[in-house]
Amino acid sequence: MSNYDHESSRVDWLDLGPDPDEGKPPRDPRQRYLWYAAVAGLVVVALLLTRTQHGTNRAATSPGSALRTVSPSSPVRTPSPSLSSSGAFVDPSGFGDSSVSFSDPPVTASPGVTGASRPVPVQVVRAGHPLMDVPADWELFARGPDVVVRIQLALGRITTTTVPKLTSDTPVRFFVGSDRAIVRSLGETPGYVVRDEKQATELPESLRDGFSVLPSPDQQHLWAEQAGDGGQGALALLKLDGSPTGITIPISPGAFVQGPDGAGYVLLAGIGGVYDARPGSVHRITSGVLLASGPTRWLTVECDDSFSCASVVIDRTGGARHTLATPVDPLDLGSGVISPDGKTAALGKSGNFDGSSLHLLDLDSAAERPVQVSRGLEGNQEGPQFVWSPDSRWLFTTDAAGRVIIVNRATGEANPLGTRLVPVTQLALRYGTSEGAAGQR
Amino acid sequence: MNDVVNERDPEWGSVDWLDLGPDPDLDRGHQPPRRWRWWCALVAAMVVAALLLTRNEHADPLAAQPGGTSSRPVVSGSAIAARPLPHSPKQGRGLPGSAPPATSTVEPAVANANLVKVTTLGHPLLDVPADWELFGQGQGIVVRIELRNGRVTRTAVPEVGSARPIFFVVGHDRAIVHPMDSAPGYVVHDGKPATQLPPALDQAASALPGPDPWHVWAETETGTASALSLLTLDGLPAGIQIPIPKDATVQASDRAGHVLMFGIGGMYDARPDGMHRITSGTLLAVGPTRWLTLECDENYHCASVVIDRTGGHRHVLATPLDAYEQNSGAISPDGRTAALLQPNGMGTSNVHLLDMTTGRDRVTGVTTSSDQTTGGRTFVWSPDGRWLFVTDGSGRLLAINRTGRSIVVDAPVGAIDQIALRVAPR
Repeated sequence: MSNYDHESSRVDWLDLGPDPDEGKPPRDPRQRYLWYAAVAGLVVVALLLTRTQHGTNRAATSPGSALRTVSPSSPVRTPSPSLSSSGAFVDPSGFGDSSVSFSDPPVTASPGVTGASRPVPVQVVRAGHPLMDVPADWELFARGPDVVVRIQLALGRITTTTVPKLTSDTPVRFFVGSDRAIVRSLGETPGYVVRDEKQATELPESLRDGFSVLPSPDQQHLWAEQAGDGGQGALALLKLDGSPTGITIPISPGAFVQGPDGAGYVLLAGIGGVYDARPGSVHRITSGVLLASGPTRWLTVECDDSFSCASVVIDRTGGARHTLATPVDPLDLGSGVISPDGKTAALGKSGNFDGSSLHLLDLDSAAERPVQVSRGLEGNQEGPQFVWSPDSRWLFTTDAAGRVIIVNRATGEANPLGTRLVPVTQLALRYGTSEGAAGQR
Repeated sequence: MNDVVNERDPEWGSVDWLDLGPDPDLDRGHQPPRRWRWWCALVAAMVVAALLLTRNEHADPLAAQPGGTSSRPVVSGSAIAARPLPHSPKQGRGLPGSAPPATSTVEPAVANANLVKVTTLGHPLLDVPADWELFGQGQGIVVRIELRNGRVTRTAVPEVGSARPIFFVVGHDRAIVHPMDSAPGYVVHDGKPATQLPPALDQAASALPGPDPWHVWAETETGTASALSLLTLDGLPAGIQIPIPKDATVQASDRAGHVLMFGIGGMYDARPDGMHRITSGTLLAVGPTRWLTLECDENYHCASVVIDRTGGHRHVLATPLDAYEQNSGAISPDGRTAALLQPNGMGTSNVHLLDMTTGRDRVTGVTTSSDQTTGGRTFVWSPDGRWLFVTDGSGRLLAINRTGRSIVVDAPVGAIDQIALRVAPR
């Protein structure tokens, strides 16, 4: 049997009458080159105009606008056509049986509206089941280029807030307090605040002074770097709305803020080493390199006068020190995080160009275990790259694809969070707040 | 079996012609040039003009001088023939007049006259011993100044562009200029035109003064390990090495023939017998007999500390020194005075003199560049500690005495970036 269907190849000719060009002298075929040149010129002019207009638009969207509400710069997911009258629908794009709703202020979206172009400022997805068998007050927060995501792990509830897009090459700090997340960026957009279930708003003025926005001992306050008199900076303890408490940590001359110390205070790198800075006191942690910090221990590499070096674990209470039998290579490592129980350090090992890898280091036996996570380049994500659960059983991180990865410390197994999110790069964990309890309800 | 296709094979050469009828252009006679051709010509002319403009902007300024190429410094054919340029990425910026080296027709005598200019001033530039010779290097120039004789020798050299750092080492009979990046380095033997560096030196990541004027430390890699190898000025190994630990980096000369390395825990003096920590704080100034450091205790209480290199005796200065640049100061050979750099907010630094005993700080009023201090110096002490020679980077060479008063060394040196002093070994 022939595969060629004569029927399908038949052509019906449409008679358009006599050729209007018939009888005319033949056109010079090379005239079309002139047309081509003209069209190319127009395209170039159009491109130039577009580029100029784009630049003008960017200049017009400078930070410092008086608006209190920050408009999302780009949409994330828009309501699907199957949105029900109750505001819940089955998301066909990978959320399985999740239900989606929009919180206050809701986006106007009529049932049956297709191709809605407005972004959804706040979108809530209910997985219908717990994402992890953990206490109800554990809430994982994640930040992507244009989203802040609140993940109530036990409730299986995910709140995605669309936020102004930050450029990828801009250093960003991510902080989570008792009722809001704060993003501080060094880019055109200085950052924003995302209160739980609310749209993003601008940063309070007091949080725009310095780049460092760091956790304090409680979730109702934060440390914010502020310029002081005579160039002497300080970290001021602020309420989450930016109002001062009057408590400060001076930044000593020649020192700079390295990051959080894992216990609500601040690491300063300065002359002679790395210091733990608190109001009224500064204590040297090491004259070497600080590899990882946690609420109970430090992990350092220290060298003696002859440059013989060793990895040293230091107890924060009492200062007891013990040397690890296996030296840790400090040059390959980014900032690590020690679990709350002080037993394990999560360390990022830098690759050359293809991202970094995650290693778990037993701080008693010095046994090092690589974890199968394909991590991205750490780039300009400031602050810890890993988040331990309060019980030290779980480590949260992100992979190169922007997924949230959960690592079981006991087994070293790494699995993605059982629901799809938009790609994220930074994490923070909130726990032990009344807001979390309220979320449970 | 013959697999070669015969181009004259009638099978290959056969063409089926498509008959399109009579040529429409036939009988039209000579056609005027088409407009599209004018357009093409116009565009081509614009492209050529743009290329010419671009080329002119990047042209060697020497080529634009009156006299054209004849005024351009040229390396003698013999010098080039002795060591042809290697076929390497570094070849891009060869010696002046070296392209193409094999066909250089400049006679050595003529070339030398253009390359090496000697000016005899007829009077001493400074009342100092006759064996003190000050050397300087800048873009396109190495200068040798015999201070007592009042004799200045200027040697035209290749420009190394914006390469930083530039290692400038003066040996007993030559000066070595070695940029860290891919630009090639060169050697200027006394009174001779510039020649290429010996390969062992040219391939080194850094080159620093050795313990005597006949040797130089060259940073080399063997497999995954790095080391500083002591080489003769001709690039031959002297059999002595200083290993570079994995977590340490070469910083500068320690002003006593060895090398400063920065590593975990502070700044170290690296010698063949191992690493010796100088400070866990900041090293402010270096000299052959003392260090000047800024150190902080466990509670970040900081102080300026003078450390004797022999015996390690330490004493604290009352003067706060946290406004000075790290690793850029120089201590006089007698250990009495430190020259320090303080950034002035205008891209340069002010030169201060610090009395290492009393802590008294003097502002000299002289400024210099501080971005040349890794591989060399913008200022250098005389062996007796009486003079600090400084280049201000804009063509002035100054001598500052201990009281902070400066005089201009009135010699036609040009704009030099780094200086070094040769003193005949005794």
